[in-house]
Amino acid sequence: MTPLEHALAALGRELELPAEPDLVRSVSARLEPHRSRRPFVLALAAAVLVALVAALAVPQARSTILRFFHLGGVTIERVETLPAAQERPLTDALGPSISVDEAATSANFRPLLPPGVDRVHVNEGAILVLLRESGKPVLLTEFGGSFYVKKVLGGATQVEQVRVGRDYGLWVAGARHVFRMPSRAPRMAGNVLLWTRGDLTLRLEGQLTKAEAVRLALRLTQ
Amino acid sequence: MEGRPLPETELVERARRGDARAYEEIVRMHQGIAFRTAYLVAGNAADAEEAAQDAFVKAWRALGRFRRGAPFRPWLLQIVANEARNRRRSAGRRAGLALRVAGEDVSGDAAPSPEAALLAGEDRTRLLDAVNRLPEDARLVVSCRYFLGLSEEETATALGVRLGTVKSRTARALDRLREAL
Repeated sequence: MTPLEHALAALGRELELPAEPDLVRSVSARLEPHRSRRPFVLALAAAVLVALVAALAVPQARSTILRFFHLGGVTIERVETLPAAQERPLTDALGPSISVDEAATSANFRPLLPPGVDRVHVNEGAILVLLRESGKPVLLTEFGGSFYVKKVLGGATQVEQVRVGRDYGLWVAGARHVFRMPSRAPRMAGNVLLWTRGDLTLRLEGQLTKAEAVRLALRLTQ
Repeated sequence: MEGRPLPETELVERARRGDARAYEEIVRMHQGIAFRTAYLVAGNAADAEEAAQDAFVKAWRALGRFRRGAPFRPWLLQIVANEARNRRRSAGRRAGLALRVAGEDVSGDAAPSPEAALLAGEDRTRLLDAVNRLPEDARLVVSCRYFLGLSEEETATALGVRLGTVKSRTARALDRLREAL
């Protein structure tokens, strides 16, 4: 280490930090038993999605009842007026590509990918890869349970429940909406298929039809 | 837990199988670094405590996805940092945490420690001011690397960026600090 780095390390030892709380009891009180929750989660997810999609489809409910809801790590919000956002390409801020193994180590989860894909991108814990489907570019984004992104929809964007094999998801299409990842300026987004598998949230964005998006989603494997 | 403390890998494996007692041991082992990380990211103690607590609960739920044999601490700290970032963002806070040094003087008859000698008086104040003036990304990398003592790999995982990004941000931050001193 350089003298400056030694000085920083020494400074760190002298910093005034608040007393560290004992978290054992509070965490312990919130630990639920591990068990297979898949049937229950699927049934619940289906019921919630039906209710939410129905509510989002009704303008009256849209403005008064449901302002936002969550699917996996995504918050979807209905607004009267979209916030300002830039039109940027799907490849915006992808960064250099790395191997799938490196990405899995960095993001701490194994991504679902179409056969033959061996290079991906990692950004702030999300794994991203640009694919082609039906000759069109498609951005696949995957993130774990603690990640958080936001979609803001205007009135002309449609939301529809979809099945992706055994998983449930949403098809967001029609007018472009605003998409925001952590630490990034918001950008406009086109048609998006969103779904969850276990703790993973997956997102396919591109100018695909719903059938094309679901077909691609079904080809993803670990 | 009875007898000799179990190694972390064994505790994690037991926790994966649903052993809450083993997980409590893991919480005890990592709660200090989890809270300090959350504090440096979130900017206040109350949010940091909530973020650290929620992160431990989320990590418990996500243990099935944790790769066997991988180091637990960076995986946990990534969840902690995400939770802390979300709280700071939802609270609308943009300004970084203003760090302060505990106590004003190194006093007493004993000779100052090498660290204290290295950071005597105004140098220490100037260095801390310079760290506080760094852009958020740079300040977080410096905080993780030098204040929390995380390795470059752990810092990359905790902040959700590539190892190369940690290296470049660290180098730029050190350059800025040198210019400021």
